[in-house]
Amino acid sequence: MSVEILSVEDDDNLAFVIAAALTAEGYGVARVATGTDALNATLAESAFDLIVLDVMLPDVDGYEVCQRLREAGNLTPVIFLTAMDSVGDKVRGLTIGADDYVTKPFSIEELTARVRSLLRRAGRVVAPVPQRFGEVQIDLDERTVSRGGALIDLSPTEFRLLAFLSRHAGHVLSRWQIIDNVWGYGFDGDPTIVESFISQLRRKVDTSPPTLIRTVRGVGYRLERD
Amino acid sequence: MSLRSRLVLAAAVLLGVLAVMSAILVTTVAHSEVAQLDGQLRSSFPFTRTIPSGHTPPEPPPLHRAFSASHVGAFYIASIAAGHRTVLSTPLGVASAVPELPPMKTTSPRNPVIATVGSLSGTITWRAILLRAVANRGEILIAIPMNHVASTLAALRFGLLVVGLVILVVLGAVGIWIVRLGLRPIDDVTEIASAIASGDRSRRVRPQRAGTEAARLSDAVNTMLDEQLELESRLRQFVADASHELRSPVSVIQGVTELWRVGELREGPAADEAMRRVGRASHQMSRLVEELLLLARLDEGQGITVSSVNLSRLVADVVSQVRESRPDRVIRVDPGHDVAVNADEGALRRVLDNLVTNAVRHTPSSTLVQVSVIEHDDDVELVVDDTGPGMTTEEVALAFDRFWQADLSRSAVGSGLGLAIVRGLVEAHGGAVKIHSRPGEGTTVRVIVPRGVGPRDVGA
Repeated sequence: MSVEILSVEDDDNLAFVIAAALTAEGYGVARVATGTDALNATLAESAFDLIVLDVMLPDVDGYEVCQRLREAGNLTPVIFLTAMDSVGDKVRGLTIGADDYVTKPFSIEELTARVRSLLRRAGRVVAPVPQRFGEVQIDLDERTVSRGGALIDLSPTEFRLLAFLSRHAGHVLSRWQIIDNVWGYGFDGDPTIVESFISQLRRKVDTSPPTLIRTVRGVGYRLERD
Repeated sequence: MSLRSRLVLAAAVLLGVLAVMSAILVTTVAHSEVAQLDGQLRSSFPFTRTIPSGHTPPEPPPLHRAFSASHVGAFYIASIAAGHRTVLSTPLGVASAVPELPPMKTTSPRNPVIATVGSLSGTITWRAILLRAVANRGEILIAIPMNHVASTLAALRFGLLVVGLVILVVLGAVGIWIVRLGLRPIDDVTEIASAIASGDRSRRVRPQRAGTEAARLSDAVNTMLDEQLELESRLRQFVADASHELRSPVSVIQGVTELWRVGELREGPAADEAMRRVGRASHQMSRLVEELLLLARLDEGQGITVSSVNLSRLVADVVSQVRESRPDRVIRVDPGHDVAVNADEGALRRVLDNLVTNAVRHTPSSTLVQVSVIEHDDDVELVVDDTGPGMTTEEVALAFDRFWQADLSRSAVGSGLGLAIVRGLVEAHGGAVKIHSRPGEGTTVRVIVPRGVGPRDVGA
């Protein structure tokens, strides 16, 4: 079942990024730039599973769009995209009937995580089947890892590392690719941190053969696919 | 030295002067009183005055003849022979008092020795003369009581004391009045200044009675504080707006790099478009930063370099540039003929470009835009006129505010700083910008720039 998301954003560049991010997650995305267009699109078809709604719009602002939708009995989940981050604004958005909000500047990861969780709450998507690698099972949404049914306790960074490796299972990932994705672009520490985290992860996850996390000499690391 | 201690010192000095003057007055009165008594004493023996010098004094008359009846009630008179006093007369009112003997005897009646003596019993003091009696038959003691002098001086002292106390009370009252009226506000200001220094910015000096220096001081302080607060909140708003404006482009760049990191937007048209978006976002950011820096420089009062500018040529130039990017628009120009002004050419170019671009951007394509240069004696006027939708009075009032935009849409490419920059640049030239606009009637922006010093004629 395909998920359709409406993105309401008047900044063309930002609309592009939002659409790209949601498309990458496998959702279908429709883009409009004004509140009026948003209302027309939603009230006419009402076929969207979720709306990403910017608060600041040239004509009808996001709060009003949301309010009118709710008054019209449309209960499509709404995530507000706001540059305002005062508590008052958030409370206002949530009282009007928004389901969640993301504050600009936001990370794609944050936006997609909220979209995912909201869609699941609304029952629009079935929870994805956890990924299996031999004995190891990784549930990206529950953020749990188990081996042979027994939960493995991982630190948040260890989990992000394993999740990144699992998303690109079968591919070799370089040390800097791992740093950029797990620690982020702001990382300015010693890059050998990757080695120490890989060995920690191996101690916790890779406890019996066959080996899951392999070192590719001179290139990086790879999580073996089944 | 604080004003309070000065007041106290002044009062102390004043009281000291009064005390010295009182002492002098009391002494003078005492002296004259005593002199009067001494005169009475001298006149008590009139026989002495009739003796010519060098002559043997005649036999004194019998005492009962020598002292007139009037003396009898005023003096103590006694003859002393062989240590035995025979009292001849006692003064009225103090009849029981007996004076002591003066230490020195008067030998010559012409030069009597008068001394102050006490009493053998009682507290009365006397002025007394001890006269050698004729033919060595003992002495005569004549004394006059000083109780009258004492009571006069006591009355005088009492009077002075009362006056002194009254002056003290008045001084105290005046002092309190001055302190209350003049110093309490200063204390207030001091207290509030330290409260504000330690972070409580809402405090204000309490209002004083109108017309006093204190009222003027507290008003001035309060006005200063209000303005400071206003300035601070404007600055805070400015910083908030600036970071707000940066959020969207930052989100774009952040989003594209994040997507790239997870393997998206790597190839083909999507990659091209992503890079184009990043380019636009970074251009938006760098323009915003550049405009903010320009505004900051203008706020500091620097940022223009004056030279002779051919305004007519500049106007024609800017308009033709705008026409190139918007060939659909009709822009009329009345540039005048070689109008010269001393100004910063780059700044004027920017002013004109902002105004013409604004006019084109905020009006429908069918609207006519007219740019004119008008010469006056001391200044030149640039007019950018359109017949577009116009603005309300409220919008005109907000137009120069930083980050204010007529429509909230960010798809309109402006930063909201254009008019603020126009005003900053024009005011840096000592000029002024005026907007006249009414809904439905279009907008007229007038920029008045002084011609400035220097050559007026610029070659065509």
